[in-house]
Amino acid sequence: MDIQIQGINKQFGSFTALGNIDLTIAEGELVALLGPSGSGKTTLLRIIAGLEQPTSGSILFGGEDLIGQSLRERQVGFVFQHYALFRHMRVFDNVAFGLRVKKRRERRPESEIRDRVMRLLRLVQLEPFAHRYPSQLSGGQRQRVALARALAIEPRVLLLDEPFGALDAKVRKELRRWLRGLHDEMNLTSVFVTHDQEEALELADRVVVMDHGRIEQIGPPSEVYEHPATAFTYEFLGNVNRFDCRINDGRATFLIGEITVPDAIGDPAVAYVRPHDIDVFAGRVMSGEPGIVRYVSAAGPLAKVEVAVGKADNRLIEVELSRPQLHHLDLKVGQTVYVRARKARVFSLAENRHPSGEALSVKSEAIYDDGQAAAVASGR
Amino acid sequence: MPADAASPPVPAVDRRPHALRSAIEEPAWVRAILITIGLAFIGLFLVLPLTSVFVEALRKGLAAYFDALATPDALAAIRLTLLVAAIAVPCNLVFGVVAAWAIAKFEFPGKSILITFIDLPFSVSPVVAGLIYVLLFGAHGWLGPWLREHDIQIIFAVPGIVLATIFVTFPFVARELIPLMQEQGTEEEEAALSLGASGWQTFWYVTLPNIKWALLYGVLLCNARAMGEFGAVSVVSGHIRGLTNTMPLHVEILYNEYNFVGAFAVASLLAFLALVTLILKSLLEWRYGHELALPRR
Repeated sequence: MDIQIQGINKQFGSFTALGNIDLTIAEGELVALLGPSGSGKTTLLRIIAGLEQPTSGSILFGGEDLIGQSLRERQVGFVFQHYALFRHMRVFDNVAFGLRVKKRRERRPESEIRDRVMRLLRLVQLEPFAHRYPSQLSGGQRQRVALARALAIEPRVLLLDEPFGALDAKVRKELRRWLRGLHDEMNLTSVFVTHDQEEALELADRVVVMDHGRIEQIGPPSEVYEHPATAFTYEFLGNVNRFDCRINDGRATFLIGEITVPDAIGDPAVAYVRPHDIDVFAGRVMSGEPGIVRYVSAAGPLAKVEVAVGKADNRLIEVELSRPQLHHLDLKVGQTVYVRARKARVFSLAENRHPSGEALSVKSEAIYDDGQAAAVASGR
Repeated sequence: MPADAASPPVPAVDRRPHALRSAIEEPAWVRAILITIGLAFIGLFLVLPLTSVFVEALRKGLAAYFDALATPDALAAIRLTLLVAAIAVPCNLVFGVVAAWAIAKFEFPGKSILITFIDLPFSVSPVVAGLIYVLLFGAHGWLGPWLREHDIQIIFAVPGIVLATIFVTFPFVARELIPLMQEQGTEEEEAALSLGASGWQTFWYVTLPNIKWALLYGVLLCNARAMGEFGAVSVVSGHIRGLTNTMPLHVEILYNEYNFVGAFAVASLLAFLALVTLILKSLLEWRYGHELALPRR
């Protein structure tokens, strides 16, 4: 069942929670709504479910307009952030609930309900826990009960609100992989909300990046990550160092580098530099900014280094180095180094101040790639 | 068993510096005094009077006690009290659930006013509550002439007593449920609705089971007060023996007539009811405390 979201607006008093959202989700797709808290992603999900009414706009499932339809008619599987399991019912009864509350003429006999519930419990690998209460389960198990309960009503679409938000890292990863497998198997159109970019990028077919009630960018994970369309997306996906910059004759100058930019970009502008796009030199280099190493963390695949630069060393920048690089440079806290951006992206602030009604767009971008710096770094 | 293990452990000498110890706990004599005062107070003001009720009631023996309870007037008073409670408590049960549901689950204009007014019967004197109804329904009240035309008697009759009792007891159930329902939020109800349940099914299968113990607790307190209410009922009852006398009013009449055994016999029934309520209440708190939202109160 495909989902069409057309011109959805949601006002809470004078606050605009969602502004003119258009989005089409194809049948069998797994889509992530990604954004910080307050971006309107959960409100959008709840509007799709029918838990919330939009101020204007329409939602279509397979071409059928749902506005005005009750939750019962919509047949949506909704998995709540905190699972919302019925605490006084056993796991079995939780899953059976949606089947038992059906109208008398649609209701299946209890023996059929039993079979179906047990099949679902097998699917979510919770068969032995059918007679437990929710309070006797772990977070990951509760999440799977919630999922089985939502699937029991044979939903037309599956909606998940921060499905892994309350789980610890290891369980989250396992469950994510499991959910992806389940989705591929069932081919059920699914939408999930998350503020975790890693989760969105890893799990979804397409990612919808949202901020301030607007869609910033829609695209497959690789595209969203590699080619962020707006400053917000760039900043939100992954770590980034942000620098004010001055534009002069098509050159953007910022604290640790300068790049050529198209004429369309004017003051004021910001330059973003990813931590792994910064070179660190132990000795003085051309156009390298001196700084003092404040922190070195060698745990993990990439070493994290913080360098204080600028006047009075008041600007802390984050750098990621490969282990060989770190080993080669042999950095010590307190040591003076020189840093230089290898790559940067400049967004014009003037154009990024939310223009009226339109989704944000960046008129121009520039990439500064200095092969020489890399050569110097590896040659030393 | 070796001798040394059998001997009681020697109390460890407190070797902490004096300043440190006194900063975190009171000296033993302070504790002793506070506990003594607390217990003495309860003994003097609660246990002693309660005991005296039973002692006085049984002063002339069990036979006199039961004779006093078996008089037609006493039986009528017991019947009336039970009737009033049987009407007032269910009314307040429904009202309490409805009000708590509205307050906990919806946002609406006038919500804070509703919350404030639910507490009104707690803050207003019961006599005033009774007078309100006399002013409304009494012979010279606002609705008095209309009621007389239609031959409806409210004041100095059972309906007035029921109304006054409902007024006085209506916060109990709502007060008990509101914090619990607010704490539980609306997620489970939303889940039920998204699974296709109707509003009624959601209430019956999801909401009600989640609040049942708090509801019972509220009903218990409501009932105790409904049976024991004196002030408001006294104003609207008219004290007609065998007709509009509830148990508390009957106790007063008997006492004023120097019928001490009779007065204390009926009083002992009320006291017994209070004790039963207290025990049930403690049982609920002990067994289902986590479902009563007690920490919030």
